[in-house]
Amino acid sequence: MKQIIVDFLRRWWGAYLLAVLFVGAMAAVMDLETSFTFVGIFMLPLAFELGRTSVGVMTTLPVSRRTIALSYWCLAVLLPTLLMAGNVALAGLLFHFFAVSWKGIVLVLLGTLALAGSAYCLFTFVARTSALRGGSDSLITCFGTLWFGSIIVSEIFKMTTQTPFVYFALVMGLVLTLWGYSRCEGLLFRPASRIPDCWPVPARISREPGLARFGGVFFAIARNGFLFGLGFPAILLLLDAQATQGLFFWPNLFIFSSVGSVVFLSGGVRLLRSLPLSAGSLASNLLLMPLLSILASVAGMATLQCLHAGHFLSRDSATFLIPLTGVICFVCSFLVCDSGLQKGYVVTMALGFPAGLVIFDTIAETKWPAGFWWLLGLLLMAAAFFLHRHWLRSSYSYRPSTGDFLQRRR
Amino acid sequence: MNANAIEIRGLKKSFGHFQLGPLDLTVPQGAIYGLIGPNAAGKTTTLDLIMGMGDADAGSITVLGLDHRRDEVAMKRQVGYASPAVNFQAWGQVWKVIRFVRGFYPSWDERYCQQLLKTLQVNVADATGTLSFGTRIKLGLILALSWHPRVLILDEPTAGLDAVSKQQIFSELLAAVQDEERTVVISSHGLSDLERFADNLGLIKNGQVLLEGSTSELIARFLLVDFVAHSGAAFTPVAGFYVQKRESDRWQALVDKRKNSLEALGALGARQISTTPVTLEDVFIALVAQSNL
Repeated sequence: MKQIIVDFLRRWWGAYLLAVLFVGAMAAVMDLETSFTFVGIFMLPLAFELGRTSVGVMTTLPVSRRTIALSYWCLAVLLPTLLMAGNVALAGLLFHFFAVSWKGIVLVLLGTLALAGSAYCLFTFVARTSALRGGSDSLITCFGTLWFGSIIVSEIFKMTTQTPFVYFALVMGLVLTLWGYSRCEGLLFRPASRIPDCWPVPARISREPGLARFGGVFFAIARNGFLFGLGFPAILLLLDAQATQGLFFWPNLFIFSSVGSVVFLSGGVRLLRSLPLSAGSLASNLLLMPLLSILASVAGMATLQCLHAGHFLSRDSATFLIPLTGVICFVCSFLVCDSGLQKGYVVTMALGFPAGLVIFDTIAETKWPAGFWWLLGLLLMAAAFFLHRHWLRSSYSYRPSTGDFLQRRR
Repeated sequence: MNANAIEIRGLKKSFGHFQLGPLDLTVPQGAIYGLIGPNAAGKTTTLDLIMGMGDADAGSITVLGLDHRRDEVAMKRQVGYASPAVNFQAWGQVWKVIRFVRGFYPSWDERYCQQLLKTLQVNVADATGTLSFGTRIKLGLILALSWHPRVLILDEPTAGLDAVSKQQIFSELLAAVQDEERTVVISSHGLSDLERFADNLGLIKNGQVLLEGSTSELIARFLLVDFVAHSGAAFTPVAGFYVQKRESDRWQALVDKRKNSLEALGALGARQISTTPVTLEDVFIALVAQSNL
């Protein structure tokens, strides 16, 4: 187990360092509870590891399956917990003049443990694709579970710190953590009895034309964006947390729903390129997906805003929304740059959140005319189209390892 | 009307230290064309470039008289493509992939698709994430064959398939070519299969074409020669003479009849010369192993 963990950390220490710096900075400038929003960052390396099918190598080693699974449990649950608590403590020491809230740290410790453990437990059930084969399903499921969970926990902490609901959630989280520990092998090895090999299907494939005929838009994928976009506000509505939401929250919402809409498709780009669609047409469709998902998110948020504040798309909101949409479309265009989803996904997520926050901050701090921001947003969308088209034509998108392989061979 | 299905002229593509081309390939219409070569020779890159998966640095590719870049959509309406690298996971289930792809081709033949599904034993209810490697390849082939494309580009279509499935696939390909004069380009390491089924062959190594022509002519061009020679050093630099193995003074070599002859060997001191017909594998190993090629 020690070797697996050490090897993992040796390969991912850079990512953890960046995460520590980022979350530390957030904990320093924001309140303690908000830092929960970023707990998912500590679990991203494991998500990528699963996506890279390293489990296949592990299983050939003279190590039991249980040991491999426990190693990943430690990396997915224990390590983020320790890093989060340590980070918050360090931020208190360095930036808040040694005013460390020990109660807060204990809360963060327990909260992160419950959150990461619950996400892990849930993932052992919902991972439809064996980690041995990797693929976008594992990646997006793991990531999505974590992100949703972390944001919800953050909301719970914000709104009702002292209510029985928090204690109930915490206890439930810890129970789920223990359960996840007991069935940790489910993350890596498919329990045959639980995962169906097939679903009910009509005896014959219906003769109706494929959905792709409608303007070439891949609606099946866009639908995922809608589900993400609508599901998120729905959860907020359930938690009655919308009153506390500021504009700061939007980048999280949009980037997640947008990436969710495109990420499923990224592995299938080779098939799409073999279809009678030009690179430009395909790029337009890929650009539409994040736009549709943002539209869905905005619709959900607008409903909430209308219900509570009585208005939604004020001039300020639009000034914020249009450039943010542009930024997200732009970063999403990196998703197809690597058919293995190992680099494009990292670039997209690493760029998406900071870029969204920078746009938000800049708009809030400066008094530049709204027209400038609207124009910037539209230009970014146009740039996203050309970037999509570039990646769709680039050899790198289809054979990303060619250069490295040949270099080694020589 | 153009007699060639695919014409590649002066194609170049650089990947770091690797350079493909300048490459010239000609695929006649109605032929099964086998593209062979060692690993990292540039076969998949060539096929990818035909399908627009990557930009060539130079050169032109014409498919059925259509420029692969300018007339991309028109070309792809006539070209089917299958590769083990195609990933169907995003669609969830086999029947959903079929439903999606079918929408793009008005000539989709539902009956033929059903027949292929049955013949190749692919279950439409299966989850795409759980498909075996071989079944994934079969699904790719079904998608490529079911709409009767005029040109089929198949990258390693038989990798990971059992002998029966291989036989079935080649039967389907042969039927397709004979019935409708379709063209098939296959990149494969299954040399014995290609020797039986391919009409034409192109051998690529390090991004360069070593040989191109009809399969029967290419194989007839070479002879496997066993002989005895007391001083073998004289043979190695001779053009068209590829030493396979040597045990003491007994030699086995491949002779390119266009460049060398048995009489020339005799003049160099070879005795007890006997010849054996070669297989494609003999030719491949001899040519690919030559580092100076």
